[in-house]
Amino acid sequence: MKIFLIIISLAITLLVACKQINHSEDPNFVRVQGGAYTNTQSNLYGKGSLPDFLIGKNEVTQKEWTAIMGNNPSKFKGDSLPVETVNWYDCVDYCNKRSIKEGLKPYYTLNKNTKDPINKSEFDSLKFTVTVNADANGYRLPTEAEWEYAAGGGQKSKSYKYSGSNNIEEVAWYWKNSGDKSLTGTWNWSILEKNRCQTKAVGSKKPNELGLFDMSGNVREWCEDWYQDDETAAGIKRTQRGGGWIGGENRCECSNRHSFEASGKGADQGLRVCKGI
Amino acid sequence: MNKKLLLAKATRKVAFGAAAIIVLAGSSMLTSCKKGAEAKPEEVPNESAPAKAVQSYQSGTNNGYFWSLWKSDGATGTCTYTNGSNGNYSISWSGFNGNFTCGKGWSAGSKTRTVNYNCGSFSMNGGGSFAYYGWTRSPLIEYYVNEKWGGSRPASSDRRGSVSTDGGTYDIYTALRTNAPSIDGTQTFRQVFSTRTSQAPTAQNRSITFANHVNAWASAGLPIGSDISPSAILLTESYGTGTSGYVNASVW
Repeated sequence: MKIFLIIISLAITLLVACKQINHSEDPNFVRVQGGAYTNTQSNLYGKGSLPDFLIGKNEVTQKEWTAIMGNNPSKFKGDSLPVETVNWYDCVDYCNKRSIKEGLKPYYTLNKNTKDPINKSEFDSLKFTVTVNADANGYRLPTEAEWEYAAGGGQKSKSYKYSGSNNIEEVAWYWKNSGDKSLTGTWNWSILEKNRCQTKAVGSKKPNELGLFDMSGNVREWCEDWYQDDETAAGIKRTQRGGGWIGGENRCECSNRHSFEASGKGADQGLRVCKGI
Repeated sequence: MNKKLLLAKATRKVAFGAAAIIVLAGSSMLTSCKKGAEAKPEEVPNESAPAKAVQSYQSGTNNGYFWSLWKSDGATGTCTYTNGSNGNYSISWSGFNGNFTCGKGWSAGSKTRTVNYNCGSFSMNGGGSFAYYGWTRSPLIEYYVNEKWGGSRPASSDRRGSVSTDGGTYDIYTALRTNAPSIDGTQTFRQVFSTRTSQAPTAQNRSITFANHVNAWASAGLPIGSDISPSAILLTESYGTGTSGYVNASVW
Protein backbone atom coordinates (compact mmCIF):
# COMPACT_ATOMS: atom_id res chain seq x y z
CA MET A 1 0.00 0.00 0.00
CA LYS A 2 2.81 2.37 0.92
CA ILE A 3 4.58 1.67 -2.37
CA PHE A 4 1.32 2.23 -4.23
CA LEU A 5 0.86 5.62 -2.56
CA ILE A 6 4.41 6.62 -3.40
CA ILE A 7 3.90 5.66 -7.04
CA ILE A 8 0.63 7.60 -7.21
CA SER A 9 2.29 10.57 -5.57
CA LEU A 10 5.17 10.46 -8.04
CA ALA A 11 2.77 10.14 -10.96
CA ILE A 12 0.81 13.20 -9.82
CA THR A 13 4.03 15.16 -9.40
CA LEU A 14 5.12 14.18 -12.88
CA LEU A 15 1.76 15.12 -14.35
CA VAL A 16 1.85 18.55 -12.74
CA ALA A 17 5.43 19.03 -13.85
CA CYS A 18 4.51 18.10 -17.41
CA LYS A 19 1.54 20.43 -17.42
CA GLN A 20 3.53 23.39 -16.16
CA ILE A 21 5.87 23.84 -19.05
CA ASN A 22 9.24 25.21 -18.10
CA HIS A 23 9.39 28.18 -20.41
CA SER A 24 12.98 28.85 -19.56
CA GLU A 25 13.71 25.75 -21.59
CA ASP A 26 10.85 26.03 -24.05
CA PRO A 27 12.38 26.25 -27.52
CA ASN A 28 9.51 28.45 -28.59
CA PHE A 29 10.56 31.15 -26.15
CA VAL A 30 13.68 33.25 -25.83
CA ARG A 31 14.93 34.31 -22.45
CA VAL A 32 15.80 37.95 -22.88
CA GLN A 33 18.55 39.11 -20.59
CA GLY A 34 17.52 42.40 -19.02
CA GLY A 35 19.54 45.56 -18.63
CA ALA A 36 19.78 49.01 -20.08
CA TYR A 37 18.72 49.80 -23.63
CA THR A 38 21.78 49.40 -25.81
CA ASN A 39 20.16 50.02 -29.17
CA THR A 40 21.14 53.59 -29.89
CA GLN A 41 18.06 54.09 -32.09
CA SER A 42 15.67 53.14 -29.32
CA ASN A 43 13.32 55.74 -27.86
CA LEU A 44 14.49 54.45 -24.49
CA TYR A 45 18.22 54.44 -25.08
CA GLY A 46 19.88 55.69 -21.92
CA LYS A 47 16.51 56.03 -20.20
CA GLY A 48 15.93 52.91 -18.21
CA SER A 49 16.42 49.22 -17.89
CA LEU A 50 14.40 46.04 -17.73
CA PRO A 51 14.66 42.75 -15.82
CA ASP A 52 14.91 39.43 -17.68
CA PHE A 53 11.75 38.18 -19.38
CA LEU A 54 10.60 35.47 -21.73
CA ILE A 55 9.17 36.30 -25.14
CA GLY A 56 7.85 34.11 -27.94
CA LYS A 57 10.32 33.42 -30.70
CA ASN A 58 7.52 33.83 -33.23
CA GLU A 59 4.23 35.59 -33.61
CA VAL A 60 1.37 33.38 -32.42
CA THR A 61 0.37 31.12 -35.28
CA GLN A 62 -3.11 30.16 -36.36
CA LYS A 63 -2.42 26.59 -35.26
CA GLU A 64 -1.52 27.80 -31.77
CA TRP A 65 -4.51 30.12 -31.62
CA THR A 66 -6.99 27.52 -32.79
CA ALA A 67 -5.71 24.96 -30.30
CA ILE A 68 -6.56 27.32 -27.47
CA MET A 69 -9.54 29.30 -28.73
CA GLY A 70 -11.25 26.74 -30.96
CA ASN A 71 -11.68 29.28 -33.75
CA ASN A 72 -9.58 30.97 -36.38
CA PRO A 73 -10.59 34.53 -37.22
CA SER A 74 -7.77 35.07 -39.71
CA LYS A 75 -8.44 36.36 -43.21
CA PHE A 76 -5.57 34.38 -44.70
CA LYS A 77 -5.68 30.77 -43.58
CA GLY A 78 -2.69 28.53 -42.81
CA ASP A 79 -1.36 26.72 -39.73
CA SER A 80 2.02 28.43 -39.85
CA LEU A 81 0.69 31.86 -40.71
CA PRO A 82 0.36 34.32 -37.86
CA VAL A 83 -3.13 34.66 -36.45
CA GLU A 84 -4.68 38.01 -37.41
CA THR A 85 -7.93 39.90 -37.27
CA VAL A 86 -7.76 39.69 -33.49
CA ASN A 87 -8.48 42.63 -31.24
CA TRP A 88 -6.64 43.42 -28.03
CA TYR A 89 -9.31 41.82 -25.85
CA ASP A 90 -9.21 38.61 -27.90
CA CYS A 91 -5.48 38.48 -27.23
CA VAL A 92 -5.91 38.99 -23.49
CA ASP A 93 -8.46 36.19 -23.54
CA TYR A 94 -6.05 33.99 -25.47
CA CYS A 95 -3.29 34.61 -22.93
CA ASN A 96 -5.55 33.60 -20.06
CA LYS A 97 -6.97 30.52 -21.74
CA ARG A 98 -3.52 29.33 -22.73
CA SER A 99 -2.33 29.89 -19.17
CA ILE A 100 -5.20 27.85 -17.76
CA LYS A 101 -4.62 25.06 -20.25
CA GLU A 102 -0.99 24.83 -19.22
CA GLY A 103 -1.63 25.03 -15.48
CA LEU A 104 -0.42 28.58 -15.08
CA LYS A 105 -2.09 31.38 -13.18
CA PRO A 106 -3.84 33.78 -15.61
CA TYR A 107 -2.12 37.11 -15.79
CA TYR A 108 -5.23 39.11 -16.65
CA THR A 109 -8.73 39.43 -15.30
CA LEU A 110 -11.05 40.11 -18.22
CA ASN A 111 -14.49 41.42 -17.33
CA LYS A 112 -16.74 41.67 -20.37
CA ASN A 113 -19.73 42.84 -18.35
CA THR A 114 -18.21 46.04 -17.00
CA LYS A 115 -17.20 48.97 -19.18
CA ASP A 116 -13.75 50.21 -18.33
CA PRO A 117 -14.17 53.73 -16.88
CA ILE A 118 -10.60 54.57 -17.89
CA ASN A 119 -11.31 53.81 -21.54
CA LYS A 120 -12.23 57.06 -23.29
CA SER A 121 -11.85 55.87 -26.86
CA GLU A 122 -14.54 57.00 -29.27
CA PHE A 123 -13.74 54.06 -31.53
CA ASP A 124 -13.54 51.19 -29.03
CA SER A 125 -16.90 49.46 -29.31
CA LEU A 126 -16.20 47.02 -26.46
CA LYS A 127 -14.37 48.76 -23.62
CA PHE A 128 -14.10 45.62 -21.51
CA THR A 129 -12.40 46.00 -18.16
CA VAL A 130 -9.02 44.32 -17.95
CA THR A 131 -6.86 44.25 -14.84
CA VAL A 132 -3.46 42.73 -14.31
CA ASN A 133 -2.48 40.09 -11.78
CA ALA A 134 1.12 41.14 -11.46
CA ASP A 135 2.23 38.10 -9.48
CA ALA A 136 0.73 35.59 -11.93
CA ASN A 137 2.99 33.36 -13.97
CA GLY A 138 0.70 33.09 -16.99
CA TYR A 139 1.01 34.33 -20.52
CA ARG A 140 0.69 38.00 -21.23
CA LEU A 141 1.29 40.57 -23.93
CA PRO A 142 4.67 42.26 -23.86
CA THR A 143 4.82 45.74 -22.49
CA GLU A 144 5.80 48.30 -25.08
CA ALA A 145 9.12 48.70 -23.31
CA GLU A 146 9.79 44.97 -23.46
CA TRP A 147 8.79 44.84 -27.09
CA GLU A 148 11.12 47.65 -28.07
CA TYR A 149 13.95 46.21 -26.00
CA ALA A 150 13.57 42.78 -27.58
CA ALA A 151 13.09 44.09 -31.11
CA GLY A 152 16.18 46.22 -30.74
CA GLY A 153 18.29 43.18 -29.84
CA GLY A 154 18.47 43.60 -26.05
CA GLN A 155 22.00 43.31 -24.73
CA LYS A 156 23.12 41.85 -28.06
CA SER A 157 21.89 44.86 -30.02
CA LYS A 158 23.72 46.00 -33.10
CA SER A 159 21.52 49.10 -33.20
CA TYR A 160 19.78 48.07 -36.38
CA LYS A 161 16.96 50.15 -37.79
CA TYR A 162 14.72 47.15 -38.31
CA SER A 163 14.68 44.15 -36.01
CA GLY A 164 17.79 42.23 -37.03
CA SER A 165 19.01 44.30 -39.97
CA ASN A 166 19.30 47.70 -41.57
CA ASN A 167 17.97 46.07 -44.73
CA ILE A 168 14.23 45.66 -44.39
CA GLU A 169 14.09 43.02 -47.11
CA GLU A 170 16.14 40.65 -44.95
CA VAL A 171 13.89 40.69 -41.95
CA ALA A 172 10.39 41.95 -42.67
CA TRP A 173 7.26 41.23 -44.68
CA TYR A 174 5.76 44.59 -45.53
CA TRP A 175 3.70 46.10 -48.34
CA LYS A 176 6.38 45.96 -51.01
CA ASN A 177 7.39 42.31 -50.62
CA SER A 178 4.31 40.55 -49.25
CA GLY A 179 2.66 39.80 -52.58
CA ASP A 180 3.24 38.00 -55.85
CA LYS A 181 5.66 40.61 -57.16
CA SER A 182 7.87 43.21 -55.54
CA LEU A 183 6.14 46.57 -55.55
CA THR A 184 7.67 49.98 -56.06
CA GLY A 185 6.33 53.51 -56.08
CA THR A 186 3.65 54.82 -53.80
CA TRP A 187 1.51 52.79 -51.43
CA ASN A 188 -1.97 52.10 -52.76
CA TRP A 189 -4.44 49.59 -51.38
CA SER A 190 -5.79 48.63 -54.76
CA ILE A 191 -2.32 47.68 -55.89
CA LEU A 192 -1.72 45.61 -52.76
CA GLU A 193 -4.95 43.73 -53.30
CA LYS A 194 -4.15 43.12 -56.93
CA ASN A 195 -0.71 41.86 -55.98
CA ARG A 196 -2.26 39.44 -53.47
CA CYS A 197 -0.24 40.81 -50.62
CA GLN A 198 -0.81 38.92 -47.36
CA THR A 199 0.75 37.43 -44.22
CA LYS A 200 3.60 34.95 -44.55
CA ALA A 201 4.64 31.85 -42.57
CA VAL A 202 6.23 32.89 -39.29
CA GLY A 203 9.99 32.55 -39.03
CA SER A 204 10.66 32.69 -42.74
CA LYS A 205 12.87 35.78 -42.62
CA LYS A 206 16.15 36.29 -40.81
CA PRO A 207 15.86 36.50 -36.99
CA ASN A 208 17.17 39.39 -34.94
CA GLU A 209 20.15 39.41 -32.58
CA LEU A 210 18.11 37.54 -29.94
CA GLY A 211 16.75 34.91 -32.33
CA LEU A 212 13.32 36.53 -32.58
CA PHE A 213 11.52 36.37 -35.92
CA ASP A 214 9.16 38.86 -37.55
CA MET A 215 9.50 41.57 -34.93
CA SER A 216 9.51 43.83 -37.97
CA GLY A 217 6.63 43.20 -40.37
CA ASN A 218 4.23 40.30 -41.08
CA VAL A 219 1.63 41.28 -38.48
CA ARG A 220 1.57 44.20 -36.11
CA GLU A 221 1.87 42.98 -32.53
CA TRP A 222 -0.37 44.08 -29.68
CA CYS A 223 1.37 45.29 -26.55
CA GLU A 224 -0.16 45.52 -23.11
CA ASP A 225 0.09 49.25 -22.46
CA TRP A 226 -2.18 52.15 -23.19
CA TYR A 227 -0.57 54.26 -25.88
CA GLN A 228 0.64 57.63 -24.61
CA ASP A 229 2.47 60.53 -26.16
CA ASP A 230 2.34 64.29 -25.98
CA GLU A 231 -0.95 64.36 -27.89
CA THR A 232 -2.58 61.13 -26.74
CA ALA A 233 -3.54 60.44 -23.15
CA ALA A 234 -3.81 56.97 -21.66
CA GLY A 235 -7.23 55.38 -22.06
CA ILE A 236 -7.74 55.90 -25.77
CA LYS A 237 -5.67 53.38 -27.69
CA ARG A 238 -3.54 50.34 -26.98
CA THR A 239 -0.02 50.12 -28.24
CA GLN A 240 0.88 47.88 -31.16
CA ARG A 241 4.33 47.61 -32.67
CA GLY A 242 6.43 46.27 -35.49
CA GLY A 243 4.37 47.09 -38.56
CA GLY A 244 2.77 44.51 -40.78
CA TRP A 245 2.36 43.29 -44.33
CA ILE A 246 0.04 46.17 -45.24
CA GLY A 247 2.03 49.06 -43.88
CA GLY A 248 4.98 51.20 -44.83
CA GLU A 249 8.66 50.73 -44.08
CA ASN A 250 8.70 53.23 -41.24
CA ARG A 251 6.17 51.18 -39.29
CA CYS A 252 8.61 48.25 -39.32
CA GLU A 253 11.38 50.18 -37.59
CA CYS A 254 12.23 49.03 -34.06
CA SER A 255 11.66 52.49 -32.67
CA ASN A 256 8.42 53.31 -34.51
CA ARG A 257 5.49 53.69 -32.16
CA HIS A 258 1.92 53.02 -33.18
CA SER A 259 -1.49 52.34 -31.68
CA PHE A 260 -4.98 51.06 -32.37
CA GLU A 261 -8.24 51.11 -30.46
CA ALA A 262 -8.48 47.94 -28.37
CA SER A 263 -11.52 46.66 -30.26
CA GLY A 264 -9.82 47.26 -33.61
CA LYS A 265 -8.95 44.35 -35.81
CA GLY A 266 -7.48 43.85 -39.22
CA ALA A 267 -5.75 41.26 -41.37
CA ASP A 268 -2.41 42.72 -40.29
CA GLN A 269 -3.04 42.74 -36.55
CA GLY A 270 -1.75 39.83 -34.47
CA LEU A 271 0.27 39.14 -31.35
CA ARG A 272 3.31 37.61 -29.72
CA VAL A 273 3.13 36.37 -26.15
CA CYS A 274 5.47 36.98 -23.30
CA LYS A 275 5.83 36.16 -19.65
CA GLY A 276 7.91 37.00 -16.66
CA ILE A 277 10.45 34.71 -15.15
CA MET B 1 8.61 65.95 -30.39
CA ASN B 2 9.36 65.54 -26.71
CA LYS B 3 9.51 62.11 -25.29
CA LYS B 4 8.00 61.30 -21.96
CA LEU B 5 9.27 58.37 -19.98
CA LEU B 6 7.64 56.64 -17.11
CA LEU B 7 9.09 53.73 -15.25
CA ALA B 8 6.83 51.76 -13.02
CA LYS B 9 6.21 48.31 -11.70
CA ALA B 10 9.78 47.64 -10.68
CA THR B 11 11.12 49.07 -13.93
CA ARG B 12 9.15 46.68 -16.09
CA LYS B 13 6.64 49.06 -17.59
CA VAL B 14 7.75 52.00 -19.60
CA ALA B 15 5.28 54.36 -21.18
CA PHE B 16 6.48 56.21 -24.18
CA GLY B 17 6.13 59.79 -25.27
CA ALA B 18 7.59 59.73 -28.72
CA ALA B 19 5.33 60.85 -31.48
CA ALA B 20 3.61 58.10 -33.37
CA ILE B 21 3.02 60.05 -36.49
CA ILE B 22 0.26 58.55 -38.54
CA VAL B 23 1.28 58.55 -42.12
CA LEU B 24 -2.15 58.15 -43.47
CA ALA B 25 -3.39 56.62 -46.56
CA GLY B 26 -4.72 60.02 -47.40
CA SER B 27 -2.64 61.18 -50.24
CA SER B 28 -2.20 57.58 -51.24
CA MET B 29 -5.90 56.99 -51.36
CA LEU B 30 -6.04 59.89 -53.72
CA THR B 31 -4.06 58.36 -56.42
CA SER B 32 -4.20 58.08 -60.07
CA CYS B 33 -4.20 56.57 -63.48
CA LYS B 34 -1.87 57.14 -66.33
CA LYS B 35 0.18 60.24 -66.77
CA GLY B 36 0.81 61.61 -70.18
CA ALA B 37 3.77 63.61 -71.48
CA GLU B 38 4.93 66.81 -69.80
CA ALA B 39 3.27 68.94 -72.49
CA LYS B 40 0.36 71.15 -71.45
CA PRO B 41 -2.44 70.45 -71.16
CA GLU B 42 -1.40 67.32 -69.39
CA GLU B 43 -3.73 64.49 -70.20
CA VAL B 44 -4.02 61.39 -68.08
CA PRO B 45 -6.17 59.18 -70.21
CA ASN B 46 -7.55 55.74 -69.78
CA GLU B 47 -7.05 54.23 -73.18
CA SER B 48 -8.83 51.03 -72.39
CA ALA B 49 -12.19 50.11 -73.77
CA PRO B 50 -15.18 49.63 -71.50
CA ALA B 51 -15.08 46.42 -69.43
CA LYS B 52 -11.30 46.39 -69.52
CA ALA B 53 -9.60 47.15 -66.20
CA VAL B 54 -8.11 50.61 -66.08
CA GLN B 55 -4.86 51.62 -64.46
CA SER B 56 -5.56 52.93 -61.04
CA TYR B 57 -3.01 55.26 -59.62
CA GLN B 58 -1.10 58.48 -60.19
CA SER B 59 -0.30 61.87 -58.69
CA GLY B 60 2.09 64.71 -59.34
CA THR B 61 2.62 68.43 -59.60
CA ASN B 62 1.37 70.60 -62.47
CA ASN B 63 1.95 74.36 -62.73
CA GLY B 64 2.83 74.30 -59.05
CA TYR B 65 -0.43 72.60 -58.07
CA PHE B 66 -0.63 69.11 -56.62
CA TRP B 67 -2.95 66.79 -58.53
CA SER B 68 -4.00 63.17 -58.17
CA LEU B 69 -6.25 60.54 -59.68
CA TRP B 70 -7.25 57.26 -58.06
CA LYS B 71 -9.51 54.49 -59.28
CA SER B 72 -10.84 51.62 -57.22
CA ASP B 73 -9.57 48.13 -57.77
CA GLY B 74 -11.28 46.44 -60.71
CA ALA B 75 -12.83 49.64 -62.03
CA THR B 76 -13.77 49.46 -65.69
CA GLY B 77 -14.81 51.96 -68.30
CA THR B 78 -13.41 55.11 -69.81
CA CYS B 79 -11.99 57.91 -67.70
CA THR B 80 -9.70 60.72 -68.85
CA TYR B 81 -8.12 63.24 -66.52
CA THR B 82 -6.44 66.30 -68.02
CA ASN B 83 -4.36 68.94 -66.28
CA GLY B 84 -5.00 72.36 -67.85
CA SER B 85 -3.30 75.71 -67.38
CA ASN B 86 -2.60 76.97 -63.86
CA GLY B 87 -5.03 75.28 -61.46
CA ASN B 88 -7.36 74.01 -64.17
CA TYR B 89 -8.27 70.35 -64.69
CA SER B 90 -10.94 68.37 -66.41
CA ILE B 91 -12.23 64.85 -66.01
CA SER B 92 -14.39 63.03 -68.50
CA TRP B 93 -15.79 59.54 -67.94
CA SER B 94 -18.33 57.18 -69.44
CA GLY B 95 -19.50 53.63 -68.89
CA PHE B 96 -17.50 53.72 -65.71
CA ASN B 97 -17.99 50.99 -63.13
CA GLY B 98 -16.33 51.63 -59.79
CA ASN B 99 -15.04 54.61 -57.87
CA PHE B 100 -12.60 57.34 -58.82
CA THR B 101 -11.33 60.47 -57.16
CA CYS B 102 -9.27 63.16 -58.83
CA GLY B 103 -8.47 66.82 -58.53
CA LYS B 104 -6.00 69.61 -58.23
CA GLY B 105 -4.92 71.70 -55.29
CA TRP B 106 -2.06 71.88 -52.84
CA SER B 107 0.54 69.42 -51.57
CA ALA B 108 -0.31 70.48 -48.02
CA GLY B 109 -3.58 71.47 -46.40
CA SER B 110 -4.18 74.59 -44.33
CA LYS B 111 -6.78 75.38 -41.71
CA THR B 112 -6.92 79.01 -42.80
CA ARG B 113 -6.89 78.70 -46.58
CA THR B 114 -9.51 80.41 -48.69
CA VAL B 115 -10.07 78.11 -51.62
CA ASN B 116 -11.08 79.97 -54.74
CA TYR B 117 -12.56 78.02 -57.59
CA ASN B 118 -14.67 78.12 -60.69
CA CYS B 119 -16.49 75.01 -61.81
CA GLY B 120 -17.05 75.88 -65.45
CA SER B 121 -18.77 72.65 -66.48
CA PHE B 122 -20.41 70.04 -64.36
CA SER B 123 -22.37 66.93 -65.22
CA MET B 124 -22.43 63.78 -63.11
CA ASN B 125 -25.04 61.12 -63.59
CA GLY B 126 -23.94 58.70 -60.88
CA GLY B 127 -23.04 59.03 -57.23
CA GLY B 128 -20.29 61.44 -56.32
CA SER B 129 -19.42 65.00 -55.50
CA PHE B 130 -17.33 68.07 -56.25
CA ALA B 131 -15.62 69.20 -53.06
CA TYR B 132 -12.60 70.58 -51.27
CA TYR B 133 -10.99 67.50 -49.80
CA GLY B 134 -8.08 66.50 -47.60
CA TRP B 135 -6.76 64.72 -44.53
CA THR B 136 -5.33 65.53 -41.14
CA ARG B 137 -3.19 63.51 -38.77
CA SER B 138 -3.35 63.43 -34.97
CA PRO B 139 -6.03 62.36 -35.20
CA LEU B 140 -6.44 60.83 -38.62
CA ILE B 141 -9.45 62.58 -40.20
CA GLU B 142 -10.71 62.77 -43.76
CA TYR B 143 -12.56 65.99 -44.52
CA TYR B 144 -14.78 67.29 -47.33
CA VAL B 145 -16.55 70.53 -48.12
CA ASN B 146 -19.12 69.41 -50.67
CA GLU B 147 -20.12 72.07 -53.20
CA LYS B 148 -21.87 70.02 -55.88
CA TRP B 149 -22.94 66.41 -56.32
CA GLY B 150 -24.35 63.83 -58.67
CA GLY B 151 -27.26 61.47 -58.06
CA SER B 152 -27.50 61.96 -54.31
CA ARG B 153 -26.51 64.67 -51.86
CA PRO B 154 -23.57 63.60 -49.63
CA ALA B 155 -24.88 63.08 -46.10
CA SER B 156 -24.73 60.62 -43.23
CA SER B 157 -27.05 59.57 -40.46
CA ASP B 158 -24.93 61.55 -37.98
CA ARG B 159 -25.71 65.24 -38.61
CA ARG B 160 -24.03 67.69 -36.25
CA GLY B 161 -25.58 71.04 -37.11
CA SER B 162 -24.91 73.54 -39.86
CA VAL B 163 -22.75 76.50 -40.82
CA SER B 164 -23.53 79.47 -43.09
CA THR B 165 -20.63 80.85 -45.08
CA ASP B 166 -19.61 81.93 -48.56
CA GLY B 167 -23.16 82.57 -49.68
CA GLY B 168 -24.55 79.21 -48.68
CA THR B 169 -25.62 77.02 -45.80
CA TYR B 170 -23.88 73.72 -45.17
CA ASP B 171 -25.01 70.81 -43.03
CA ILE B 172 -22.27 69.19 -40.98
CA TYR B 173 -22.00 65.41 -40.98
CA THR B 174 -19.62 62.78 -39.69
CA ALA B 175 -19.11 59.08 -40.29
CA LEU B 176 -16.64 56.43 -39.17
CA ARG B 177 -14.42 54.33 -41.42
CA THR B 178 -13.72 51.30 -39.27
CA ASN B 179 -10.75 48.99 -39.65
CA ALA B 180 -9.77 50.38 -43.05
CA PRO B 181 -6.42 49.62 -44.72
CA SER B 182 -3.85 52.40 -44.91
CA ILE B 183 -0.11 52.82 -45.28
CA ASP B 184 -0.09 52.58 -41.49
CA GLY B 185 -1.85 49.25 -41.62
CA THR B 186 -5.43 48.83 -40.54
CA GLN B 187 -6.83 51.97 -38.92
CA THR B 188 -10.11 53.47 -37.85
CA PHE B 189 -10.71 57.08 -38.70
CA ARG B 190 -13.45 59.67 -38.83
CA GLN B 191 -14.82 61.46 -41.88
CA VAL B 192 -16.04 65.01 -41.28
CA PHE B 193 -17.87 66.91 -43.98
CA SER B 194 -19.92 69.96 -44.77
CA THR B 195 -22.48 69.69 -47.56
CA ARG B 196 -24.30 72.66 -49.03
CA THR B 197 -28.06 72.51 -48.60
CA SER B 198 -28.32 73.33 -52.31
CA GLN B 199 -25.69 72.92 -54.98
CA ALA B 200 -23.26 75.74 -55.69
CA PRO B 201 -23.86 77.38 -59.09
CA THR B 202 -21.80 76.46 -62.14
CA ALA B 203 -19.50 78.89 -63.98
CA GLN B 204 -19.05 81.38 -61.15
CA ASN B 205 -15.99 82.41 -59.20
CA ARG B 206 -16.62 80.94 -55.76
CA SER B 207 -14.78 80.77 -52.45
CA ILE B 208 -14.59 78.25 -49.65
CA THR B 209 -13.45 79.90 -46.43
CA PHE B 210 -12.14 76.70 -44.94
CA ALA B 211 -11.52 78.18 -41.47
CA ASN B 212 -15.27 78.68 -41.09
CA HIS B 213 -15.80 74.97 -41.60
CA VAL B 214 -12.91 74.03 -39.31
CA ASN B 215 -14.36 76.20 -36.55
CA ALA B 216 -17.90 74.93 -37.09
CA TRP B 217 -16.70 71.33 -37.01
CA ALA B 218 -14.81 71.97 -33.78
CA SER B 219 -17.92 73.56 -32.26
CA ALA B 220 -19.85 70.47 -33.29
CA GLY B 221 -17.39 68.26 -31.40
CA LEU B 222 -15.48 67.31 -34.53
CA PRO B 223 -12.08 68.99 -34.33
CA ILE B 224 -9.78 68.03 -37.16
CA GLY B 225 -6.22 66.94 -36.47
CA SER B 226 -3.35 69.14 -35.44
CA ASP B 227 -1.31 68.11 -38.46
CA ILE B 228 -2.87 69.26 -41.71
CA SER B 229 0.23 68.74 -43.83
CA PRO B 230 -1.30 66.08 -46.15
CA SER B 231 -2.44 67.28 -49.56
CA ALA B 232 -5.77 69.03 -50.11
CA ILE B 233 -7.50 69.28 -53.48
CA LEU B 234 -10.57 70.48 -55.28
CA LEU B 235 -11.95 67.03 -55.77
CA THR B 236 -14.21 65.31 -58.24
CA GLU B 237 -15.40 61.90 -57.09
CA SER B 238 -17.68 59.44 -58.81
CA TYR B 239 -18.98 56.00 -57.88
CA GLY B 240 -21.56 53.61 -59.23
CA THR B 241 -22.26 51.46 -62.24
CA GLY B 242 -22.26 52.73 -65.79
CA THR B 243 -21.64 56.31 -64.69
CA SER B 244 -20.69 59.14 -66.96
CA GLY B 245 -19.93 62.81 -66.59
CA TYR B 246 -17.68 65.76 -67.26
CA VAL B 247 -16.17 68.31 -64.91
CA ASN B 248 -13.96 71.23 -65.87
CA ALA B 249 -12.78 73.32 -62.94
CA SER B 250 -10.05 75.71 -61.86
CA VAL B 251 -8.69 76.30 -58.39
CA TRP B 252 -6.50 79.11 -57.10
